[in-house]
Amino acid sequence: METERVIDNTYWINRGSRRVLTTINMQTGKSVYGERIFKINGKEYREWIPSRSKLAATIYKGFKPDSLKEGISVLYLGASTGTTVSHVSDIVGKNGKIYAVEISEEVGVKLILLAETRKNIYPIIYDAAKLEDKREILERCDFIYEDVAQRNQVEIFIKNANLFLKRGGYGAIAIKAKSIDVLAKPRDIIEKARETLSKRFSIIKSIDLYPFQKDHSIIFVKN
Amino acid sequence: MNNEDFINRARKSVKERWTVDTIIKKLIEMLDQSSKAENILFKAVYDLFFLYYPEAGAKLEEKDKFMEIMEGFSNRNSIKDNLDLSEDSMGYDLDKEDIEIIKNGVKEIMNMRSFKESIERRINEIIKEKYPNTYTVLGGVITARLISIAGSIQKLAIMPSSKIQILGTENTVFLRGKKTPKYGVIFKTKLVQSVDDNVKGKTAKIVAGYASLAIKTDVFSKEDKSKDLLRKLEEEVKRARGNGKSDR
Repeated sequence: METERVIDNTYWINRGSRRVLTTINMQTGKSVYGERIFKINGKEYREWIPSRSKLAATIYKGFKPDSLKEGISVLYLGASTGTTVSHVSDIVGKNGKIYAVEISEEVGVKLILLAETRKNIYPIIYDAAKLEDKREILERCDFIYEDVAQRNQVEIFIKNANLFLKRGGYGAIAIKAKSIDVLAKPRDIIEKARETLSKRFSIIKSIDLYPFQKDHSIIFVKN
Repeated sequence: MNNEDFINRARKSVKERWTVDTIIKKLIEMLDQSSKAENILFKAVYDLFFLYYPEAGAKLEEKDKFMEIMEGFSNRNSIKDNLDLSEDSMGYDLDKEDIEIIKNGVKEIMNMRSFKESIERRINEIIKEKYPNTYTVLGGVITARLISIAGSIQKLAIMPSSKIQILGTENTVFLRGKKTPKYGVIFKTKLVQSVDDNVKGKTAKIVAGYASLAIKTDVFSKEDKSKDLLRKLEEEVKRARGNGKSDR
């Protein structure tokens, strides 16, 4: 099997006619949520499934999020059970940091259990819209990723970017069109979000995640 | 701060977030799901039984009756007298093992029923202990349902009583071309059930008003005023009932 580098610690594995996106496993031998593990030349690769992670779907759609590098600090809003967080944790490696914010205590339990096994995940069980209360324990980060499926998610993103994003840092916001407005056309909602974001950031690219996720888009911005 | 401090803080905040309402929500969910499971199992057992003895099956379509008769079931002979049927049947002659499966199924449904009862008892116990005023006005299960819909008792306490009245009708409340529903979960309380149809809406309004009062008492002052509340409530419902009759 051949490997091909995408970004730091992230590789395509060619398996015959298909290629599979993987990240190098930080904890050898452990699978986080039941994903497949490939062993090639003594290294372990964890499969990154696009239907379960919007960031993986982005890479499957052909975009390389170069700004996600080894050793950076990431503020991850809407961490949920930690599926994507575990892969981002693989990417940033041991010297990186992920502040994973999640509001619900029931899924937060899984996130905490994940953080106990991976030392670069810093779990915060709190509302992503009120993170100013946690200012003393957070720091300015190189990258902000938001996936919260809230009506005012763009505003939450801008607010947190003002508080916690370094100058010249990058951000990505996953927008679920249906949770902003059920009746409007998804394209219009994304266009509106782009407009709002472009007043504050310079937009790198916006990607529609169809067919991996329906009515979801992801927008990459630079501060 | 390192990773462990964050984990400790997060663990603490999760632990502090759990309240008695979380348990109530889970219990109500469990009650609903086990009702569903019971119905599915009943349907399957009934279908197998129908194959064996269709004449009896036609008479035992209702679940309660089926369970009552099937308690002493071992073959056609054992239940034919109860139902006034002859042993001669057009059903398929099942083997002993298949009949055993029917019997086990019936036993399983019985177990499910007692399980459901135990959940209900526990819900009543918790509500009676934590929210005594609301318990007297609405009863345990309905209070629990309201809490599970609203999210927590605090949210319920700051709701207007008209919203409490129609809680549980989220799917129909904004339907175009339809009138706003008169009652939601409240409909199943004893008082609303006891009055005639033409005053059910009015009674639901009264009950919701007192429920709101009781919830507020439970949350803010935490005094037990249940007797007083119940007396006033019953008086008012009586008046509403009387009005309804004179209107006819």
